[in-house]
Amino acid sequence: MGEIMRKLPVFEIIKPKTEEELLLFRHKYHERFMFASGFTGLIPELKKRIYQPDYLISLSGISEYSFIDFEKDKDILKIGSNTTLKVIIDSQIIQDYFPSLAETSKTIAMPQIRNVATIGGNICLDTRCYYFNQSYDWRKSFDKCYKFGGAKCNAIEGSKRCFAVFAADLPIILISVGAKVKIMNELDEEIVIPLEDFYTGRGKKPNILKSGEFVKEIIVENISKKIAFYKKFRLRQAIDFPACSIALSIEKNNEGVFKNPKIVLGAVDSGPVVIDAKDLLEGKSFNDEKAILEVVELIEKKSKPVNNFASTPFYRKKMAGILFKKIVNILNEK
Amino acid sequence: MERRKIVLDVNNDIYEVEVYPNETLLEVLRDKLGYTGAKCGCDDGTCGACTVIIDGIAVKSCLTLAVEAEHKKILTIEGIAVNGKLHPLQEAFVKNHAVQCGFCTPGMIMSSLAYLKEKSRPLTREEAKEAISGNLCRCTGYVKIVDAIVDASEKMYGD
Repeated sequence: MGEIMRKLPVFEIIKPKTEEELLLFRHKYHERFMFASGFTGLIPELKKRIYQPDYLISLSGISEYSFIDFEKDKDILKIGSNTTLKVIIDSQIIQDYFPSLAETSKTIAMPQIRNVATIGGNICLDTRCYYFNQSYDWRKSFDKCYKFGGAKCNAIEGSKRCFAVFAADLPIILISVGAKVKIMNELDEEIVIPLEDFYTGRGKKPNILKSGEFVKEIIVENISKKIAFYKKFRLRQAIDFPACSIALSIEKNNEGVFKNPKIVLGAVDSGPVVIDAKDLLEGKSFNDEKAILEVVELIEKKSKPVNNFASTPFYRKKMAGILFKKIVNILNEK
Repeated sequence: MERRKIVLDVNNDIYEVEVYPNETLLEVLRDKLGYTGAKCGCDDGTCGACTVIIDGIAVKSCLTLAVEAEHKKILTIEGIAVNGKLHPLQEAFVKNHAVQCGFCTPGMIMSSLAYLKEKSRPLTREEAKEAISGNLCRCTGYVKIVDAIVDASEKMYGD
């Protein structure tokens, strides 16, 4: 049996119990380790030898990073990076103030993964590509691509960059509501930046984290004033990553119009794609067909999928627009 | 890479076992402790054949490091029958012909058991499908499996 299983590469595991221990360890093993929390995304990548760290620092034992807190007077929602998707789905606070985050979490992977995968892990999810999310032996038959320090993209011949796809779900809905992320930087300082600025848009290195830095907390301000929606297209209704996804957030109002709309696309490029549709939608009615069609056109134009992921680029582009229309239908039914 | 001694609680039996940090729970259960009920299918978290229950929640043992399961309560398919009497889910799988090749069956049963215990009431067909949405079966077409889960849920929690 052991021969059939793919052995994980050799590594040591470090299990800090407190933040203090964690900070000590990350300085001690500088640049030779990777962080892991739920392990569900990382273990397949290790088995495929996409990454081969000397050490894994497990965040799973640090209970202070696992919390959901809502400060009603300030209207601020805070979620610790170690919080599992299952806890988010079951949380009454999330149900009351940010139900679309629970709904989005419920669409991720499958129950066994959601039980242990964390919001921090989803935010730091690596980009994916049919040409490198493969076994080591399969990859060996190709030249090294940009993702592995090579000088070519195996998906798009002659291209000058890595086209790996950003297929995480939670960042898309979180960016749509203007969430921020608290990072512990190399100097043991906590810095807070908009989640939108956390992503580089580059397939090779999708976020700004430097070695040793990690996400500590997710902060959402003024959440009770907003309403958000998330839709995604994937080949199967479970297990699969999205082949394209979209989130829309607007300010709550009783007039049936778009107020401060923010649209974010996922899985159609190497980072989340934020669409500036305010000029087209601000103050327009949910059933303004002309405005909706203009936005659909803009969404299709801004979606830049290539042939390196599930489905076809053409279909994914079209589906991004269709998913937006589905969200508008929900708004019209409300 | 240093071998370390860990304590695992599998089906209420306590084992002291030496493991390497890079050994998955599935490898340790099967190769070191002889619990071969959990199966190695895809080995990358897709198929669900390796599902076991840890501290009441269903997890994929191929994606779980053995060292991360230390001091937690692990339940495998071997631990759900009581005194030789099959668990109602097992009985329902037999009665409803929900098994063909049988490779996915332990994972299907462990996923639905965790779901059923959480809901603690009879399930609808949609809920039964959700319970096993992380498990793949290449033989049955799922209909009989869903029948079995609904049947078992009614036996366990019906009036």
